[in-house]
Amino acid sequence: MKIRYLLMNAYGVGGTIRTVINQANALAADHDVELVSVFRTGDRPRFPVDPRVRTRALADLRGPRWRHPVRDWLRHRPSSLVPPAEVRYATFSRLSDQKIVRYLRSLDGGVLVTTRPALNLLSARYAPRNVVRVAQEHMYLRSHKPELVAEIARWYPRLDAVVSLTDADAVEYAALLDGAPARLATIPNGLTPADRAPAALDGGIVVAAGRLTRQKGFDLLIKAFAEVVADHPGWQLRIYGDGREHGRLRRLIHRLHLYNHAFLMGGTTTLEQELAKGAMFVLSSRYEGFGMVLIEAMAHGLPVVSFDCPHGPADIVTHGRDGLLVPPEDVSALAAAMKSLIGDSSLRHALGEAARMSVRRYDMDGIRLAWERLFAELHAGATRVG
Amino acid sequence: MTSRHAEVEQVWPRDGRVLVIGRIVDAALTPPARTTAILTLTNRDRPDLVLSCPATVDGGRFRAAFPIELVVSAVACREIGGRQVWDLHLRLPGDPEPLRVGRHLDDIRDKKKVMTFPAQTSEAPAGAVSVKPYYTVMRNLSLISRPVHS
Repeated sequence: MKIRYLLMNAYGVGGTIRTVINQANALAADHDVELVSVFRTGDRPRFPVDPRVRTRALADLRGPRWRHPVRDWLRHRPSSLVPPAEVRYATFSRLSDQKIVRYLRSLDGGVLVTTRPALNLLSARYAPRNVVRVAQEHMYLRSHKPELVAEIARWYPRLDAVVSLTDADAVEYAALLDGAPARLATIPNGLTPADRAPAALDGGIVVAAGRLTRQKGFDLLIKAFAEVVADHPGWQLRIYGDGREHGRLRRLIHRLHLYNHAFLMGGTTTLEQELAKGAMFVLSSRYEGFGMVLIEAMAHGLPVVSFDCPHGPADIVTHGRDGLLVPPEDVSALAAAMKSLIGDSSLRHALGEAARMSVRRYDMDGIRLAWERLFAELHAGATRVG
Repeated sequence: MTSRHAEVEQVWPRDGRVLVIGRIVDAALTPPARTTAILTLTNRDRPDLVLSCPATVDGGRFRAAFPIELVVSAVACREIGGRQVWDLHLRLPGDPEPLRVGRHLDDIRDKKKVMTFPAQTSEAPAGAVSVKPYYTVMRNLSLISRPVHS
């Protein structure tokens, strides 16, 4: 099968980019896989790409502006095809409009997977009917602005499939696209195989990770940890990640006199090693697309404490079995859950071991099969009709 | 890191004081029983300018606290302007070599950026001065004092 992944920028760093490249790599052994990046901002992708995956870019943004006057002029004209309500509207332009539409119209057969709302909408509008068009949702329907949801309701019914990360989100899509021929499916992100060191469950370190933005709720976590330290002064909180909230979070740590206990560790390229130093992992997000980092932590045998926020944690964690779920944005409940794990070493070990076993359902092998099965069914259907 | 130093465990810059708690790391030294040592603050540009305060040492552990007034009044009385760096040492009784105060025995490398402390401010005749502990790139503990422009 010929499978093409269209993403906005394969040369950046981010959860969607990493997930899509992992998927392309997993399918490369048995299929003809191409990674198509709308923009090219670097010489090579920042995440490892399997050599069997071909890569191409539609709009190469490298090189000086004066050498590419037409490109530069088009690039600074706003897109007329991407809805302004798309979060990344400003990244798209007349240049990308032209390149994407020309690319989509040139396709003939095979599977096209698009990876964000702007691209999903363009695929629905411009890709030929003999192409199997699969849209991926890497956040969730309710995370989009109403104007964008209206566009989704209008155009997604033309697609062959819309794939969500969680069942809860698939239900939302089913309600919106009621009766449309587009197939709705749930396929979570896969856990790539790796040697994962078992976690240091008695090491006294609480680990959290994510971009330092309001979404990730590290302000709530720091406040909760102040309550924890009052009872357990030997414990330490380490938050991995960079982002625009860094200064604000640091001032919060200073104000709460947590400078001996809570640390903003900065970004790391060796998160796996840092996760393994933890005695527990905490997810304090106000919302998530999925919460992949929870799965990665659990794969190390780390017990997790997570807000039961939309979307993902409740799919991934079974409360009391492989982790603890607490009501979203409830600082005291988060603190209480951390304290209960700190105070009970055998509970940490029991939840951690259960976590390690339960996330096997996200192993890339199984996720790859789910994608293959979906593509094969849609492909067979398209061939019969065509 | 040298073979002997004063390993910091906690630094508490609050309530107008800076409290430093840690332990003495020295293979050759038998931990002294309860005794009094001296914590010194040496001005990096003027090595003859050394401030000191008492420290308690007990079974290899140390604890020392000084009011930020100690630094603020020294800056005011010598009429030193601008940003000043002060390096912290622990002087044990009968030991000619002071121990540098620092934090070397954990896995956090980039301490200067990761382990940061708030500044405290005190009024002085020539204007307010702020005092802030920080880790150097060598992971030793120092202080920065500087005038606060309002």
